[in-house]
Amino acid sequence: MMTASELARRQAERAKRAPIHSPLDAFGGLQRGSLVEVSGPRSSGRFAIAISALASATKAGESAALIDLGDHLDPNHAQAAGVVLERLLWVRPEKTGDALIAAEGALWAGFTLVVLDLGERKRDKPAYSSLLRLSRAAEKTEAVLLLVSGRPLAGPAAKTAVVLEDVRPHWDGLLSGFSARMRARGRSVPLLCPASPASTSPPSP
Amino acid sequence: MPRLACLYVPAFPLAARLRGRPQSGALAIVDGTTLIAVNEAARRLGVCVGSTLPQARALLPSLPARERDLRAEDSAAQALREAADAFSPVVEEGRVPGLLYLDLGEGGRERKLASDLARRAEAIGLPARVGIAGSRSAARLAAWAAVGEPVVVEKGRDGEFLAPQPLSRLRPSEKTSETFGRWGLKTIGDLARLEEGEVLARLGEEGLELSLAARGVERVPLVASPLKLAHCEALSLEWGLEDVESLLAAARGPFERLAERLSAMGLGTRKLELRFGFDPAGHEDRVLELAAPTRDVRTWLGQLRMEVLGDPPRAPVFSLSVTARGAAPRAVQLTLFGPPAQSPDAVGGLLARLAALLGAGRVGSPRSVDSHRPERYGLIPYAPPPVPESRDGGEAEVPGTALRTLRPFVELEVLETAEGRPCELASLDGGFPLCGRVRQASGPWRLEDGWWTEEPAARDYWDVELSGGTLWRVFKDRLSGRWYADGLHD
Repeated sequence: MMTASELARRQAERAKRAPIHSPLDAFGGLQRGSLVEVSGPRSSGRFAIAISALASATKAGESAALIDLGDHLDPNHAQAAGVVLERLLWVRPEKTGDALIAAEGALWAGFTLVVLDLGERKRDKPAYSSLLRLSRAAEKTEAVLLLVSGRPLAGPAAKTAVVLEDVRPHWDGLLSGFSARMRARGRSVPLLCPASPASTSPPSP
Repeated sequence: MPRLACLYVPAFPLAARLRGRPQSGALAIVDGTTLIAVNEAARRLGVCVGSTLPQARALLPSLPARERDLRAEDSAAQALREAADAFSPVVEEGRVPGLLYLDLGEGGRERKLASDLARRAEAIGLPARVGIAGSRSAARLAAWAAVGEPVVVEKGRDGEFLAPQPLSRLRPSEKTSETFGRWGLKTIGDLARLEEGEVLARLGEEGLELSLAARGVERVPLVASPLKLAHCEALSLEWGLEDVESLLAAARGPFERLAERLSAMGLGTRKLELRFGFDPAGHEDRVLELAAPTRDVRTWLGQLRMEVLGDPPRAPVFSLSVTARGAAPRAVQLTLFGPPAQSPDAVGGLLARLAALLGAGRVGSPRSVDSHRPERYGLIPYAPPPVPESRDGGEAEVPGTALRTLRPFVELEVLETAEGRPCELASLDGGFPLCGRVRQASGPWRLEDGWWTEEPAARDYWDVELSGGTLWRVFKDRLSGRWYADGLHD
């Protein structure tokens, strides 16, 4: 037997949603109801941040969707990085327009985290109005939309826009990772990505 | 005493053809050359059911006449039956299409029920009349008289309601009708006053049935007619459709009606079976498979668009029918006090829409594959496990490097040293810029796989840093001598 207030307290505890951790925690993290943009040159850690967010969300039991415009996901690596593949919806569009439609659909279908990765191939860049629409959808659905691109695109539509720069690979005979700096809101924070075994070249059988 | 409702759709072949579409002028439906249904506008001009088309056109030369559409009638009858099922567990089909009897048990709030039933039939494009009484005959005649408003015959007063009505409304056979004429019987009340035994002795079983019906006595309870498992909607067109957009516009009506029916039963469907009808004969069947049970019309139209764009019908389409078997959306056990979770219906609809938009094999849940070849992966239909009671992602972790797999591999032009070490490379794929001098490289890691198969792999992998600072995973295919980039460290 318990009091009604105790029941209400336990209910509130259970209903609380776990935060989605990522290296962006330094800038307020991936807040629900917002569009967060991560941009930077190749090999700056954009994809590592996306995988880290997917791992955190799926481990917390949340549903996540990856709109993979470049078809870049390696499921073996993602699983090794901690992503719970059963909770991940992988969408592989070939056109920017289809990717935007898929991202909006995933937000309205109740996915807690939607990562929209624009890939590495030359494609049409999304219009600002489309990104604003996605931002509003994320706000209404209280989801997180993480936009990963080569250069800043979202402008004011993004609640947080992080730019990765000053990338330095590290070698000690083998590739041991790389470091970069994350800049947002007038601050600059280091990002260190050690080489994960699943992402470096396969060892000889 | 049980109460019965009769749901009656006047001029059913016409109503089934139109399905709620307004028709301003006169219109008739013919079976061969005989008129089997006419609308109010035609009736006011003197055209009547049972006359031949030449007779009708002698009165009204410009009378439009359409052939009877049995598929449309079949789907309309089924839709009407499904609408009635929502009001009673026992629904019996009458002797003619568009006539249903519903068992209301002991009754209660009958006028409201009758209004709701009529509104439900109207919503599916079949304007209907509703009558409620204690017997089939009284309920049917009450429905026939229910122009504008349902007619409810009070309990125990069926005989009183039926008495003044003409005897022909009980639909006696021609021979029995002649006998009634010789006896001087004109109204139902006249028949009801005759002794039952005498009527049975002179007119047999038919006479007994008519005598009981005249007094509002129901001997046989309603027997539920079996319900078909497949749901069908059909459409006939005045002219053939050749272009995709016109076909999609025409298909929207049947799709919306079908979705409405499935929605009323809480069902979706995983498969739509379509039949395109041609003129004068011939048809083409198509099947649209959906990724998950859904009743989202946009998804269905998207699938149809992809189907007909890829493989257009071979001739102009004059009729369309679509059949679906109901399937329950994915069920997920949610918790009463737990954290909010996704709606299975919303996810199912999204999966079906994305599969229709992107094609099969582009949407799903990824799986790792136990293979030496790093590019191998699995993709299965998305079906997440139940939401855990408590959600805790743990502490924030330092991310390791991630690899962007390149699909397909990007072929490279590589300058090698004598030892086979890459020192400069450039992409041969115009859509994927990649070039530079190699600043640092580690490797090779040798991979050999499937030497016993028809597609063996023999590769030397390298991690390279280019002069711009980008980090790539590249390999040399030892069998062909070509170089490829298969990953970008990011």
